[in-house]
Amino acid sequence: MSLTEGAGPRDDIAADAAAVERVLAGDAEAFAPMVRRYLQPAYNVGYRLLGNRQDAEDLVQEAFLTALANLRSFDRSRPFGPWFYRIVWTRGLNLRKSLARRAAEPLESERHPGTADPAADAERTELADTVLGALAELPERQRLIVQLFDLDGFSGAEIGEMLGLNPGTVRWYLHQGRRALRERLAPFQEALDEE
Amino acid sequence: MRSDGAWDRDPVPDPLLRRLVGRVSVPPLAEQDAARLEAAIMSAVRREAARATAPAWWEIAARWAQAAAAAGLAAVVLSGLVLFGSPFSSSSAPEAAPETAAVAQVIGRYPGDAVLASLISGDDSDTLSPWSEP
Repeated sequence: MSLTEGAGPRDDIAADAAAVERVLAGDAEAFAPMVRRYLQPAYNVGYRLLGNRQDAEDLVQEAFLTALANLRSFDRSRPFGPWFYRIVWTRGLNLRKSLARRAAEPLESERHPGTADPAADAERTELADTVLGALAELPERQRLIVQLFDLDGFSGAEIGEMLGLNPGTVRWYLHQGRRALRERLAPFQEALDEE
Repeated sequence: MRSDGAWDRDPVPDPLLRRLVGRVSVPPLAEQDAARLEAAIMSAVRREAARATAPAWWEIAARWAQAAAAAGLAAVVLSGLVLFGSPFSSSSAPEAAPETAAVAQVIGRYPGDAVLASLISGDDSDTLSPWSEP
């Protein structure tokens, strides 16, 4: 998933800067396209961090209102996304602290409907359990970086800005996390290839 | 950590990990959920914007400050005029009231009449009381 699908980064910066200018001039409706554009990636960040749909939705709503309140401090010559994701991330950490959730809380897993083949169902369940277990064993930072990069399509630079890390450091965590997951999940590669 | 430039660029996505991890991760927001969330956010944004554009009492006060200062100054000037008189009016002594002049004329005509003078001046200290007679 590209976070800026359909337009180049420069176009995004110009479009976002124009929208921000209109919002600051009092046109609240100009915020709508920005909400549409950044809603999904922000939700993904919130979900990876909080592990819960409702909390992620609350976080995204709160983050957009925080961004709106601090819009004057946003540098319009820079992309809006990383600035906004940083807000989502820091508000998410605060929310998680207030919810007193454990960082490595097991993830909600997608429930697959049963099939007529009990053996295949058992194999899928075993695979899901193994993947969940492998993810849960990763240090939280590695797990989040793998998910944000490989599943949600954030770049190393975007993740770095969000987490306050150098992009090179993000890539190193990504490398470590991927290596650990590959080792644990290698036995399932064959099964996946057959599907 | 290596420093040979291996960390300068993002690695290519890993399809196996993507498939495996994607299996157990909740998919992104469904379209109708995203639309509902977007509507809720924009509703909150409109509320905030309306609240932000409504002027606070100090803004209203600031807007009327000049007019209020001018009105206050005018009130002070008017009060001064009423209390101390207009600086443009004549500085000569006021003329005597007509009643006072008439009384002076009568007293002048009967210079020795103390009773008349007393009556005209309203002095009732020598008023006879029916109970004071012996």
